[in-house]
Formats: sequence, structure tokens, C-alpha cells
Amino acid sequence: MVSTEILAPTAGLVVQVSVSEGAAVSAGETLLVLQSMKTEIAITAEVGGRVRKIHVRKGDEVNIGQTLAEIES
Amino acid sequence: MVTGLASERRSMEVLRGGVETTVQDYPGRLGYWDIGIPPSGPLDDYSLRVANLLVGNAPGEAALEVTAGMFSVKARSDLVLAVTGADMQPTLGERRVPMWESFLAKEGDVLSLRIAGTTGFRAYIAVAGGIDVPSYLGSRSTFAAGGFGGFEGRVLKPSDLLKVGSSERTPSELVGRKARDGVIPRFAKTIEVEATVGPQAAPDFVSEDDLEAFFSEVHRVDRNANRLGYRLSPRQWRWARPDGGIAGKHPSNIIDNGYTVGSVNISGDQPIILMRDGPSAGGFICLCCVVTGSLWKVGQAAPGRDELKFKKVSYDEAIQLRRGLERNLQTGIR
Repeated sequence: MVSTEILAPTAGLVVQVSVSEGAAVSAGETLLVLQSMKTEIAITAEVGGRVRKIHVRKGDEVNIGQTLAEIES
Repeated sequence: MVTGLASERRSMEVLRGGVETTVQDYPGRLGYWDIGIPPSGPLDDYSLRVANLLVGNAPGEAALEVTAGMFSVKARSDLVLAVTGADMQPTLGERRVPMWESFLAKEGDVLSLRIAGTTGFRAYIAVAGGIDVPSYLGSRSTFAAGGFGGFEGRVLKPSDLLKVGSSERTPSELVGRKARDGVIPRFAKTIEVEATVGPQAAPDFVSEDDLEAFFSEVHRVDRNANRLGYRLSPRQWRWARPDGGIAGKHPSNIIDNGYTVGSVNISGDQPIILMRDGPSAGGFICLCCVVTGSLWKVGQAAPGRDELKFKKVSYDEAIQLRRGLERNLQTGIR
């Protein structure tokens, strides 16, 4: 099992969490949505696997580089 | 027709589009500002030009601007590439590739960029031969807000197939070219940018003291900064007027007038640096203007992370800055 950390590519506001912990996801699937740069940015899974942990909730403000979620594959 | 087929084969396929990746060339779509069409082009035009020189292209050739990262692309033929700008830890397959240096991507190799991390915000990927998208109104730059230019007028997404132009030079002539140490910029969290004062400054619009204060303060980059405008934190102004007269209630209001790229526009209490996809006219004052030779540094400021400090320069100093940048580009590759 390899755990992949999903990092915030930019500072933003979490406006949607699309998956729950334990869910199976495929590569490219949207995990959550950030509002930043006057647009919405879908944060997708780099690899397919299982969502091990989601570190943020809707309404959280995140910094660039912050861990958003972990995918186990 | 044979050459046409050969150039069709030179291409790359987008696997991961990233946050906001676009095709941009320099100086962009000039000559249509009077009808509201912005120049577009790279927000860090310096790094784009270095990337092109590394792969043997003309400095303004069309290349990729990768904003915030999470981008990957697969070479569908052997290609010579270079990555400059923000360090997003580029890899070719499993192997790290150097920044500011040209390298060979073999057919099937995947170039991946992560995120910007602690400094810088935009990376540039140049390919020998340039990105072959149609020229529209004289430029290959993308204006995504207007839906034209670049690749189908939009940001890149998975499965996009980017054609690559032909290069006169062989890969062995082009691989391993490096930028000299002095031309590689060091990005920082606090970025100093040079600006000329005006056209709407002190004493007519703000007090002399307030203008000095603005130039001594550090301004945080708002998380909504983008290719149209770089929003900074609102501040308490000491206005010279109680209101905008017939132009509006707020003292930042003026009768509509033309803007220039790099203007520091004061919209209510919020300063916004007008960038390459920004508006050509409007009814807010422009306190100062980031000079051509410094605007590239603003493009490397990350929204919500970095801060800017303005340094007042004269018209002559602005010209010297631009010439210095061009000298660096002429002598910067070995």
C-alpha cells in the first residue's frame, strides 16, 4: 500500500468536499473543490485507490502546499 | 505535404490539465487595446523568453504557462524541452529533470509538474519548434476569459493534443543548454516591484503622505489574484477628495478613462494591478504603474501567500530596467 498526499496547489476556500473517507476513487476523479483566483478549481486524485483521510471541511481556508487528503493505493 | 505530415507527428498529449495551463506567446496580441482586446501573453514574460532561448526558439515563441501546477504531458515524438519559472519539481518518468536547462524527452516520456511550494507560482514549458496553434489577431496567446486564442481559446484539459512546430536544429545541438546563474531569478515571499507614479496620484487624488505610505508598506496578494488583475489587501486611504464628484460617491471614482497593463488601479479601497488579460478602460484612479521590466515578477506572486512592495522609479530608470532584462536575455544562455 502506498499513501499519496493531495496538496493544495493554491491558497483557497474549500467550497465542496466530493468524496468521503473510505470511498474508492479513480485517477482524475474530483475529491474536492477550491475557490481561488476568482474561479473554482477541482482537486482531482492523482492515482486511483481508496480515500484514507480527508483533512479539510467545507468552509475551511487552506494555504498553498497544505495537505488536503490522502489516497491509499 | 511530406513536411506537413512530419510536423503532424511532432506533438504532445496532455494527461493532466492542472489548475490553469494555457498556451502563451510574447509580446502577445498587440494593437487591439483600443477596442478592449488585451495583449494576453505570459504573466512572467521573462521566464517564458528564457525557456524559449534554451530550446533554440525565438524568445517570444508560443509555450505553456503552468499556473499553480498539477500538470503532466506525454511526448508523442522525441522533443527538446525546457522548464523555467517556479520550481514545481519537474520529472520525466521517474527521473527529476533540471530547471533552466534544455533536455530531451523521448517519444512516450511523461513530463510532470507538481505544485509551486514556497516560492514562485508559474512555470513555463518551452518546446523546440514552439507550440503550433493557430495565430489569431497576430498572436498564439490564450485569452481564456474571452474564449479565443491559444488552444481552442481555453485552459488545457486531459487528452488535448498539442502540435509542435518544426525545429531547424537537431536535438543533439539543443540538449544541455543552460541559463547562466546571473539570469536565473530568485523568487521570494516578499517581492519588490518597480513602479512609476501616476497618472492619478498626489496631491489631486490622495495626500502626499498617503502616497509615501503606500510605497513604504508591504501589500499582501489576495487569493483572488489572477491573469486579469492582481488584487492586493484593501487599505485605509487618506483621500484628497471627499468623493468622486460627478463620477461617483467613492473618492476612487473618476470619469472613465483608459488603463494600461501594469496600472495599479484603486477600486474602492482595494489596489488591483491590471495584468495581461485585464480591462482597457474604466472609472477608477490608477495610482502608479508597474513598469514593463518588472511586471514579470508580479506573475510569480502566489495568491494568498506572497506580498509585494512597490519601489518608486523614474521614467529613465524604467527604461534602464527593461534594457537590463533584454541584455540578460541576449547573453544569458550557455
